[in-house]
Amino acid sequence: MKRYPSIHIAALDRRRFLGLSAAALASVLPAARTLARTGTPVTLSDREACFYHRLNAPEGKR
Amino acid sequence: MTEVACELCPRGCVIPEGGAGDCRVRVNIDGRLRASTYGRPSAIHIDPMEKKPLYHFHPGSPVFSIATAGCNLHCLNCQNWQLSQRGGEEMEKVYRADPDQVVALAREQGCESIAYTYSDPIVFYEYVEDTGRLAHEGGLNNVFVTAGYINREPLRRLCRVLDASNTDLKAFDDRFYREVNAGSLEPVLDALVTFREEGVWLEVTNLVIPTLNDDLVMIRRMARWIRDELGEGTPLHFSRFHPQYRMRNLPPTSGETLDRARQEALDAGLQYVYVGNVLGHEGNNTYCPVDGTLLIGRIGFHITENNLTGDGRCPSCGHPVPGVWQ
Ligand SMILES: [Zn+2]
Repeated sequence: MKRYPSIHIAALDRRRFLGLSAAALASVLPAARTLARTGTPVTLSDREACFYHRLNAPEGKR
Repeated sequence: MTEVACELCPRGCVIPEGGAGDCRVRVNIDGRLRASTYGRPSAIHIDPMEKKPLYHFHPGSPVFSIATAGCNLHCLNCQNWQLSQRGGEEMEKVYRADPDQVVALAREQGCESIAYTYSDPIVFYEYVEDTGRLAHEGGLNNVFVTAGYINREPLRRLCRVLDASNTDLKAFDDRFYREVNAGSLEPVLDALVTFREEGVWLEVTNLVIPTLNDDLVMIRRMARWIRDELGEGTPLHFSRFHPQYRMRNLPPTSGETLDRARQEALDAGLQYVYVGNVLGHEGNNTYCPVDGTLLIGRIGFHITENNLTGDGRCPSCGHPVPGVWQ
């Protein structure tokens, strides 16, 4: 079947995006594995907070 | 150590501090749940609306389409497993695109719509909502291409920014969902009904896999459910399976199987039943359910002719065809 020619981001304005390597990403992405490995504190903005969740602790300490 | 329970999807992962949910992208950091791919898409393309597939929503228009890593299902036959079955930190490519940049770029590229697609946009829920709100402010439409494995309350909230969805109904069989997708059927049926109740334009896709979900009795039950719960005017797309990922042992779906599935659904009373992934099949076209007039001709994702009147009616008999035609 013929593939529709998608326009990849490469054909768009690359300057608006920062293509990160996996290694570079690991230093900014708040992924658990990265944290566990490096212990690096990660600062996060509020917009990354998930809307739907609850604490699983009975007292709900936080 | 503070555990957090994610309440976004039916999986209900309880995530220990430092851990990620089953989707790999919703992570517990210091007792707070974070959407780790927010603003970090790994796929950005411009597609035709027909590729979603949406056949009754702004036909022929280009859609700015984005996805991040991660998925809350694990289909053995996933078409996008390099994207969906990985976390953000495992991706070779990650772009930075804040919601306002996505909207600006979509406009710059002449797209009237933004699609949240490829993996399952459920797992980048907050990014969809923020981008969707800005898109609406800028006069763009939001298209949500999903497997519908999400809890009702979050979906209802998200529907406020959505205009259209193509939702997979992978089989009308809970056991299939458990064995092939690592999910379950009931939440998906709930999601389909929710889209309909919230007024989001809805089309349904069923990928027909030889021997696993091609049973005509099941297809009939599925078609009747769609007719009764979603309406006879709901477009249903039967799509051809290609062997890939962890399901390479089965052959591609035959044309005859797809023909039989389509006929079964038409017989059950659905009015717009399509066959996808088969080039030049008459099931790519839209016909008037009353008098059989060819309304929209398609080859692949390309529109060859559009005979609908300006307000979306059959030019011969005036039958109104449901959809968003503009
Ligand atoms: Zn007609």
